[in-house]
Amino acid sequence: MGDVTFDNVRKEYDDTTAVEGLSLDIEDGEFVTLVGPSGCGKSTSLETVAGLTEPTSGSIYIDGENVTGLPPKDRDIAMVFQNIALFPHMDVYDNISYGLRLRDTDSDEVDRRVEEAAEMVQMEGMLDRMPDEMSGGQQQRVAIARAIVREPAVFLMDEPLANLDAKLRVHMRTQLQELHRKLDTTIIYVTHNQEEAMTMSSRIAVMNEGELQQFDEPLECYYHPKNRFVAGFIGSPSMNFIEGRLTDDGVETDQFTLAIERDLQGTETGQAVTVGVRPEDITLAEGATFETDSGPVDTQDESELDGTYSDPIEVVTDVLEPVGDDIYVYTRFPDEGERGGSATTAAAASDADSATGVDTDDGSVEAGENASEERLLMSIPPMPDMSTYEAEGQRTQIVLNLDMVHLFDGETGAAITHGLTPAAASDRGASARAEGD
Amino acid sequence: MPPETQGQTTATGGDDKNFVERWASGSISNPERTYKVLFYIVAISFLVTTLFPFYWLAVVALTPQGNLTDVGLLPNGFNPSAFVEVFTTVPFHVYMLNSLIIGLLTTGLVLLLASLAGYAFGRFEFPGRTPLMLIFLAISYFPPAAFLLPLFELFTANITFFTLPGGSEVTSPMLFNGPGALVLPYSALFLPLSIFILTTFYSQIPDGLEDAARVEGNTRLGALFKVIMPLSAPGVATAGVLTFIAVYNEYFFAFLMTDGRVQNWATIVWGLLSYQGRFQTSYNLMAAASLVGVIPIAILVVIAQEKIVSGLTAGGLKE
Repeated sequence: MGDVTFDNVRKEYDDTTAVEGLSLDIEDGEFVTLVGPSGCGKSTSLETVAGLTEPTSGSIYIDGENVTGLPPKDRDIAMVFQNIALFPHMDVYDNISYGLRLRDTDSDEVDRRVEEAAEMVQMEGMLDRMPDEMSGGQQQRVAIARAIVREPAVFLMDEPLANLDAKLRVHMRTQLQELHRKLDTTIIYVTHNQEEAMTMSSRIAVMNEGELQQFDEPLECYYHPKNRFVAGFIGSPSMNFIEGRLTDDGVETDQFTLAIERDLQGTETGQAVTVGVRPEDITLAEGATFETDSGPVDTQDESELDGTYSDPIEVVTDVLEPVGDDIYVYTRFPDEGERGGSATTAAAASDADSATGVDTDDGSVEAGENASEERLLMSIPPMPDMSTYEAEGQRTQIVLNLDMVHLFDGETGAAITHGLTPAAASDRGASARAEGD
Repeated sequence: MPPETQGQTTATGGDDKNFVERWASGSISNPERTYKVLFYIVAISFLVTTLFPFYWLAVVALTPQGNLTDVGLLPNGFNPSAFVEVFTTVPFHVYMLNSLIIGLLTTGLVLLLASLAGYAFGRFEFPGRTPLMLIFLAISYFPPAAFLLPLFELFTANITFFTLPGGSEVTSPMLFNGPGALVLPYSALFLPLSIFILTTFYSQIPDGLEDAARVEGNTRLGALFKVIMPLSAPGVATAGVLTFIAVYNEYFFAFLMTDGRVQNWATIVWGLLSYQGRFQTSYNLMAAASLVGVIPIAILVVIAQEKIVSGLTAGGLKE
């Protein structure tokens, strides 16, 4: 059994706090991912479970036992490291069997278990290789075999796939999930890659600046982010944010107004809020289009528009990024002078890099709340005939799916509501959660 | 003269170049050749200066006792039996054994202590680390003679630490004429260098490997001796070889910390000196014994070189 509990774990270094009062209950057999940007304390948290780092205060329990002061060897854990950390002076067999031999396991038993573990990671027949004779993927598989051979109560994985190339990473992801199904052992997995977290875990713990932001199932974090950070971190490309304020019958930003048909408790008129909307919840307005070098982008299929949509919002296209199954369209709001005029001055200030999150600035924003610099990222289905993606400076109209618009408190970033229509978003979230199970 | 001007001179010189001009233009167009020649000149002069003493020892050793006053570049006569007499006149093999044992004991002790110190210095941040390291290094530059008198007093049981209530005194142990009288000062003298070498090596072993060893079931010390030390084999070999050679070669303490009798742990130094009798000095035997005494070191260097060259840390760890 390997349930793991973090009880108010805090880790301070000389001048910084790496982990700030982390409390988590991880059940036996769960695949939990700690995810967050670099330096958010996720690796430190994992090291406190491993016993490689002593928490400043708080306790760690594994299988109900307080292991806070125990050395790593007495915790019944195994760990896979980002830098693989195979012992370079030992062959594969010696690497895998190292822990067993340290525990004076009978040599026939060692042979049998090493065989089994090697088979599970498909490395049988390579037991006499040295680590430097193998590829990165093979080395990582040996490292995983070294972890599973001892049959520990908990597996700890610290970005084990980070050093592998993209294709291998996706492959190993599937293998790890298969392994988890076979072994049914608790896995605590650390990554900064939200996609890995979303695809592999039964629950994810999103961390930022040492604090736990949300601990939920992946789709719950996606559809019902607890705050603006989680909303922006989970999902790729990330959510658009536009600053605004509450009015009597909706939310108003510098560019558009959205009606709210929902009771928002604990809010007051005039309160500053952040509107969050994912790129996939923005579509072209009915009848709206824009020209590319290889023809106009068609109006969306009527069937796509199956929600409650906002009034059309005027935007100017900026950069198009085809990614295969989607086209990402970076748009910005027209300047005052441009409004209703011709859209010739478009591309001047475009900066594709800064467009992934609307909250990223480029130099010209220094002039204050220059709202026309804010961008919206929209994802649209690809056009089969499209050959080039030059469409900068095209004026068009978009609509937001009101079921899927999130509101966050402008001050604290805490979520106010998910969906502006009555109960719409929560329905969708719930059905998605059912699918997830 | 700068190369360009030299080049111009030869260009205008036409066919009637003299030897120097030909050589100069040749080495400008093909500098590799000149470097090669220079390399051989330097290498050969270095080899001659280092190997000639050995050759001279061999010449002296092979020259019969009576002809020693007239030795040229070739031995005056041929007397290989000197290499046997070396062991029959004096138990030189026992002197060698003493030296080897003291050398190995010191090397073992130094590597053990320097490993622990190197681990702390190389892998931990702690207050006062740099000053402490500097003090260690400073100590290694003290002249050993400065320690001799106090150490001699200490090792001959002449220091009273304190008097017990009953009147009996606790004095320093009697180490003179024993291996301790040599191993202890040697270890202290040669530790700083080894600490310095091992600190450098141990600090370069990635943290991940130590963490992995600890997760797999090692204590910190276990990780040090099973993972960090084997991976630092070149550094350990370097520190060990340097220590062993220094101890094997040492004269000052070796001469003063025993009375020179072979059963009292006298080392090779005493063995060599014992060919010097009251009435005659057997220079040929001294030379032969010197050559025999070099053999263990020669073997050690050949073996250790293998170890040092084999880069054990290669691969296995990304970044």
